[in-house]
Amino acid sequence: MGGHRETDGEDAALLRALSAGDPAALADLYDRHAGWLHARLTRRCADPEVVREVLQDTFVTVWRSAAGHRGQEAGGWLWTIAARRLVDARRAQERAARVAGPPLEAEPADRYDTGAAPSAEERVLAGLEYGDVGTALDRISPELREVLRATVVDGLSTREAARLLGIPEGTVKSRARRARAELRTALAQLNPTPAGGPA
Amino acid sequence: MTNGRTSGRTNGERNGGNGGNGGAQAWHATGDLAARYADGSLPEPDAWSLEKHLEFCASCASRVSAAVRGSAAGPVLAEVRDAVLREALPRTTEERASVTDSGTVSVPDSVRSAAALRATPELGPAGLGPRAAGPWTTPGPKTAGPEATPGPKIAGPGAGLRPN
Repeated sequence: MGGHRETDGEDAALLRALSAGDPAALADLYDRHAGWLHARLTRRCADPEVVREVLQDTFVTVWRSAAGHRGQEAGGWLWTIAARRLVDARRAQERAARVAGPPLEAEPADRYDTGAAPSAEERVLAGLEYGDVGTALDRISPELREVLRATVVDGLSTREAARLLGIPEGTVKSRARRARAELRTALAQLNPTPAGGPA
Repeated sequence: MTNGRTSGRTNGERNGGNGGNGGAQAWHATGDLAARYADGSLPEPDAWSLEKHLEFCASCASRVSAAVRGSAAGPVLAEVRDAVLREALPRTTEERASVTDSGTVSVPDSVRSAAALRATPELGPAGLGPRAAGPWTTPGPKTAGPEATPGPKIAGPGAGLRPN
């Protein structure tokens, strides 16, 4: 346990050194976090060139805006930047390809609001490490799952998720609503007290 | 392991204690889990769990990153590392560093260490400092001084990067 806390402390020290303009801190931060960020981006984007550009852009941004770091965990901060860079890259790609084809068909929107993380999703996250939630997630369809991933796991807004996934915002909202409903159903079937913690 | 239902699923390990993050802090990724995430074979729900964990657990982040470096992504990671460090060290400081080779101009430590950091892990340490030896070594003590002075926090572009 102590080792983990020490590593966390080292991350904080790295970020302070980064703010002070120490390139060695950037190298350390890269070695510590670039690998998993690359893997995470790769799971969300099939184009390795885009992944590469986003990763590079992320660390260049970190270097240039380290003073804007507000004290949050380094990994979370890095992912926030990377996810938005990925959204930007997707938007640019889409703009380039917009000539072909009509816009995607929108599904009816509902009142789902990703702005204030709904407690149902917080519970999903809290329970992700427990097998039941994983099993439940396996049961919902891939297009619903990818919306959940973008909004719940990756922390994107509805608009950002729409850009990332290449679907209208209304579709993001309706799929998120359906995903939550299906998750609830699946969890209820698996376990009457699902995601609150270890049974 | 505290929960029989989960033990085979994510293959993480629990170390008990510290409830700093709703209990999630006590869970850590095993080498096997890191390897399966690195090679892309980890099922999606398990990957989500790990990904959220990596956002706040630096030690697991390091472990998984090392596993990814050992995968097919290794060369790309090394190339991007080089590009990022090149970006961090502007051309002007590079030129200043090269002047020092002639022996008359003194160069700040930070510039010197940054030049050494160019060495990608594949190239090996080759006489460079411990922090240039690549990510496989445990980070040593900082060589550059000013880490204890975080500087004023300003609401720069980074402030807008938080999720809603």
